[in-house]
Amino acid sequence: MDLLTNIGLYHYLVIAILLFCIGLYGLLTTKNIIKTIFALGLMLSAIGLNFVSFASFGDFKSVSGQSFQIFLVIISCVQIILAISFVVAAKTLKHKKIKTVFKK
Amino acid sequence: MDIVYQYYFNFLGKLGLSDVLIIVLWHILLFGLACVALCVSASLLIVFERSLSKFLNKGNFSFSTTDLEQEIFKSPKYSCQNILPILFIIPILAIWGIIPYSNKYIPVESDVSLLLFFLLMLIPIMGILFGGYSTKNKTIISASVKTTIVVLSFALSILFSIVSVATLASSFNLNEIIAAQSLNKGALGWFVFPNIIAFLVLTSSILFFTDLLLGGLVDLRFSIFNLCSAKILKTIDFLKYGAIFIFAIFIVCLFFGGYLPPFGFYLSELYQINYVLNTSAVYVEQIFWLFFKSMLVGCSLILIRFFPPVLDYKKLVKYSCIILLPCSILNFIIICIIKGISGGV
Amino acid sequence: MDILSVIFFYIFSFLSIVGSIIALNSKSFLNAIMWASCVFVTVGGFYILLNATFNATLQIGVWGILIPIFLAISTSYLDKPEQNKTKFNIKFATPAISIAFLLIFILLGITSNYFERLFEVITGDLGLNLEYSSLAILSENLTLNYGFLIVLFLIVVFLLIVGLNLISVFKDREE
Repeated sequence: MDLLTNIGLYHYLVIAILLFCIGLYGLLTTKNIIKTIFALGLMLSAIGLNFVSFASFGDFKSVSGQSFQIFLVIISCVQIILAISFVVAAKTLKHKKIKTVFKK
Repeated sequence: MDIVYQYYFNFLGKLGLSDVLIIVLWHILLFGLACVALCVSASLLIVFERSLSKFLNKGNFSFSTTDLEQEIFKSPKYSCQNILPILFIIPILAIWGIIPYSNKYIPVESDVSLLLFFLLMLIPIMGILFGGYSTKNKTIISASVKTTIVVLSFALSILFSIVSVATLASSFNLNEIIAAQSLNKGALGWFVFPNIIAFLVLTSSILFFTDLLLGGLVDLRFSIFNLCSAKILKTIDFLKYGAIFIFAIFIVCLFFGGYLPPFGFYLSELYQINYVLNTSAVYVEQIFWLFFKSMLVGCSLILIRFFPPVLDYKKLVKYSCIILLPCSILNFIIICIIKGISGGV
Repeated sequence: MDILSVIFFYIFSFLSIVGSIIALNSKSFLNAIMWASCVFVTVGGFYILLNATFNATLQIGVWGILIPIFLAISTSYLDKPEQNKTKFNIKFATPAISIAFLLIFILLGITSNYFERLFEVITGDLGLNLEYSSLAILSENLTLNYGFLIVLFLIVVFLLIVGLNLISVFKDREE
């Protein structure tokens, strides 16, 4: 009963592992682009949760975990926006510019 | 307020009610006070606007509902009629918990209250998008997407102006930002003077932000009214003024010293009667100054809304991306450099 | 307040795991996006439990609100043959998001030590009686009691959302 009521580091790590595995499964199985982006985001947020939980518990207390999570968020945001822009560009410019470039 | 609570508690205690009931009733009374304050402030702004329109003979800028009601009764029944207004009401009423009314009366004080305000501002944008997608009308979907794009471009400039204020005060806590605009200097210590560019960017972007969220794009004849039933139209029209008042409070907290008086001293401290009475009078005076200044700013925002031109989609995007955003970024960089040179942390 | 943090932890974990599974398996684009935002908001709730409020606001703001908006905008430019078959039904996603946001506000109230002071007033640990001796003690307690209003209001709003959703569900079934 103590394991369930005393929330510690291991509880957060278990949640992070579960979310990471669900994201990995989604990344490998879906053919949908938006669901792959979501699965990637899920994995990245699980990693961030890992960092922040280590930063706030026991022997590993520091602020560096939280600062690393901030960098993760920014980089993942940029990555996702780039991915979405590539997808949208590939769909919209499919019949116009790409053919002319290869023709020349 | 302490004296009122004492009399209230004694009166209800003599009736034989339990402590818990008395406290719950006190909270319900305060909740009613908050709703009344919102209604009174919004109605005062509406009255000011109507009287100004008569004085200037310029006409009302708030949306006329006659054309839109005809469009709504033509369109089919939507699944999210009841949910959308709630997505608009929640942020407006949740922000009342983050505002510092005095240096002690803050319902929810956190180190990131400024960012929380920005978060709450973004929730209605989701409402527009998902409300648009719940319809099967292609024009409404495209119009909702375009409004979100424009609103996000204004939100970026708001973010940079907010962050510039946070660098000046070196914290995201609203109470500490107000405390950094020191009491001793009075009005000269307010952040509006060193950070005037951010103030101008914030006011102009807020005007367009509220108009777009709760009004819509003029050239596409799209508004949030397309997604709601006719019964809820009046509440949304009312919410716009509530949102303007809350943005006015926000501007006052960031740039005009919040609850601090402009003189450099508290009027209630002039005559020392009793420690308890003087301290409670100071809190009351702080609340008065906050609402007085926010009312002035709100009325000036409504005055400004009468005069600017009505812009369409392309001009709005140009204005936000070419004028507002670079100004706010430059201002932020300049303030960072000044802060770094002066050696402030 | 340890019991509340335990309860919040389990609620957030349930919401995040169930929400991620639903988001990956749903046929409708927008249902997936709504459940995805719910998952990211609950991860932000985890950060508040770990006393990392800045990280929480970043997570909620960027992952919970902005990225679902970008994903929804991108779906307007993509072909969506599946969406013609399935209806966009936000009847079950919005309660999840509302629960997540509500719990986060309650958590913020907890971190400002509101509930501890309230229980102290009720149990009389500060020596408060009907006949008050000093008003200064009262004022110190009352400054934090106003936060309870926000919690009460949010609970009412949450009940409204759930209630209206249920009413609309039953109405559609009758039709």
